[in-house]
Amino acid sequence: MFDDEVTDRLRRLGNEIEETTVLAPAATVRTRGDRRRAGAGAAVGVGVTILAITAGVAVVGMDADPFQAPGPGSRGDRTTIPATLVMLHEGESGWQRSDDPAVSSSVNPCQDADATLPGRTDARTLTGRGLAVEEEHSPSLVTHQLFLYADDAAARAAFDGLATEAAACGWGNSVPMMNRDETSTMLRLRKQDSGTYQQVKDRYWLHDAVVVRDGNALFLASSETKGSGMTSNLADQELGWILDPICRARLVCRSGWASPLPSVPAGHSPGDPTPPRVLEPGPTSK
Amino acid sequence: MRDSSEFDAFYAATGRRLVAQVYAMTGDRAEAEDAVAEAYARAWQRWGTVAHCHDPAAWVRTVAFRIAVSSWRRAVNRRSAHARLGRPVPAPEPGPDTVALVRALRQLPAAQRRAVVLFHLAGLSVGEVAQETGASLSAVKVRLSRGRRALAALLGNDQEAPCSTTR
Repeated sequence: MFDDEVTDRLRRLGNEIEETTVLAPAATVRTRGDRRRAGAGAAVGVGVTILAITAGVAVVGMDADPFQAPGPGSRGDRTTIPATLVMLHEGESGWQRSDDPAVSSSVNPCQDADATLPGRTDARTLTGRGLAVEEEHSPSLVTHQLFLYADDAAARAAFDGLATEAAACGWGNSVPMMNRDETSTMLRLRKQDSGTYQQVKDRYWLHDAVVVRDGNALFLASSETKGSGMTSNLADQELGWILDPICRARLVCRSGWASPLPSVPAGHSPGDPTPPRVLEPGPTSK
Repeated sequence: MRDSSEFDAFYAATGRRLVAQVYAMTGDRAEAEDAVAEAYARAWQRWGTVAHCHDPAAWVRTVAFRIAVSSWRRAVNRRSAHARLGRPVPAPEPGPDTVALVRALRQLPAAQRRAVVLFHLAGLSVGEVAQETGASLSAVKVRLSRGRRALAALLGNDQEAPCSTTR
């Protein structure tokens, strides 16, 4: 089947659906949006109330059981990574762990001052080889980094600094994503040389990264691939697996995230997938 | 202050088209309609910023797709449950050509299906598909190539190998 046949058939499908779709009145959609807006405000109020009631319990409970499910107001108040946290791939052959709080960020778009260092209070780094989850690709050097900061503003500054540097130094970046209350933000960064891929495959390289901030925590997954035109292993699916243990430790959670696949790593029991969540694109200025 | 007339005009101009695109991506029209409606509600919720996005329709499509995929997971689980129980799932569909195409699309891996729909139905360039899906240019090209090849096979329109006339 040629391209134009695919296009024709899809366009006929599109026309058929467009012609037969009856949209709800715009006013109804706006009312639904307004209700969501009101609901979000109410949820914040409830969250503050719960926080006030449970604050004492949370302070005691966090160290006692850092892996219990995160609750309202339970994140953003840690400045050290709990020793009991086990990140994905820890202990696996070929993976190294570092607890150096001043470790360099695996992504430094302009190769100058590390935007993730100011205000950082703790860090954990896992380095290893990539996994071919979605498509075959050459082995990748993969780095998972969890950074904690003195406060939310410092983490936000690190996130914004990476985004600004990426834009200034030739990295492609995605539309920033955020959850509904904008406490969690995510950005995909990529730099590659695909120009040589068709001619000299061995010279192809790709540096791919995902940055997620939640409260005073920043998570950075980075993958450097050489000799392949395939994507690295930072698909949403795998990102869910990576972040699950960190979220359970009440650190980085992608609250409001939608993952198309159960958030369960290979080899683990798929009995209790993370509930679907929705993450929305943030604004991109014209 | 959010401008409702501006939002209404945007909704009227893009709503049906996005339903069609999300339907082609997910294969479930009801889910697509729900997801698109919910995505527009969210767009209105933060219209002050979405209106200034480079492409507000792409914002709505991305949100709708994520909502629909999330719903699609539940639907797949429901279908699996129905299959286990031996209960057929009633699925009223449009014309036979559309049914065949949607059925074929459903059999593509999600990433290929999304790339094919964005490129061929939404009319995005390879670069735009890469940006919207967070994939590299080469990955998008591979997905399009594989997706088209798989669609051709599924729809039975493969070019047949030439038959030799000499013995």
